[in-house]
Amino acid sequence: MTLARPFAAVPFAAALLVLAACAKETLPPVVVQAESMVRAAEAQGLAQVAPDEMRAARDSLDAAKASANRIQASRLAEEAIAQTELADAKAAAARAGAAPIIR
Amino acid sequence: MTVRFAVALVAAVLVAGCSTRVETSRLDLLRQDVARVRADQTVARLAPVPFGEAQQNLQLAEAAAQVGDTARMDHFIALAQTRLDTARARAAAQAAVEQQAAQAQRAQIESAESRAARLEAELEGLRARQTERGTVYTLSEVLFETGKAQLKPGAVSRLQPLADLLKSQPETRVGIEGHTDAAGSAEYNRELSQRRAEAVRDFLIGAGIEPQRVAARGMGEDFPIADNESPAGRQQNRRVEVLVSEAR
Repeated sequence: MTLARPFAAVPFAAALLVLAACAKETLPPVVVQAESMVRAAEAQGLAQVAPDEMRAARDSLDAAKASANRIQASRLAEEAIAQTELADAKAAAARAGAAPIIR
Repeated sequence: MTVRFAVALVAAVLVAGCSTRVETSRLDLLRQDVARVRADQTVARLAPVPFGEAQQNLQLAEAAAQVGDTARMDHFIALAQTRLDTARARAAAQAAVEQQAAQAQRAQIESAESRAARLEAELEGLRARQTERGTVYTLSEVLFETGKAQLKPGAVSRLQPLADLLKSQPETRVGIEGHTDAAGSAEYNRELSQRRAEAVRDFLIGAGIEPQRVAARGMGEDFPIADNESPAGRQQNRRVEVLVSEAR
């Protein structure tokens, strides 16, 4: 019985370690979504049509993945998504032969 | 010490004031940008989704500014600005697509009009007259060699406009009547006029006119339109008439 007590703490400690590891590894869902969108856009060659936007999206995504702060990571991921959507819109405008956009 | 504290306090207040002004000015710029796009209406009409998102982000930035959450405000200002740019790009793409569609439609209309005008000009080459039975188009003997019922190669250019016209009027019926001059026997002339009418009928069917719409009849020499004494009169009598009437 005296021997069993220290061993009883082992599963508990292991579970704690696993939970801690999971908490560190799991990315916020919006980061996962941003990664998927940025990758798809890169695969479509949007970087050639809208290089600035795709670079900004990639930078935001990388920063989001590196961030330890989940709120900051989510915000950066949202900005990556918005930049990817902008790149896509610019590509659509180029395909349609639209005049350059003046702000 | 008290003086130092007072100086530090004044400096802190000034820094805070400047910071607030910077935040306000960035928000103001964004507000002006959103208002400009809204006033233009083109972007709001052609790209309502990203423009709506930009407006929403502006509201969230304003709310964050009110509670002094600068990081959140910065985030929503950046998002709003990107979505405004997205709305502009989407609107430009959509406008270009609509413009191309309008151009294609105009070209199609112009092409149809020019086809109709060409057809009309070609039909002017056929003598048409209105009768109680319908419109009668008269084709002179140049369609056939003398004494033959086979269409001359050049006849196609005369008959094709008629076929095009008939195709554009699918509700009409077509009666083809062959006529000859009085030279030769009446029996021979009737048979020749029948074969000539059938040759024209076959051409029209070959050109896409439904067979059930077309009937051919040989009228022989019985319905002259000029005297048969002179070569000019006989030439006028040798003809094929195409009667176009409404289907009953």
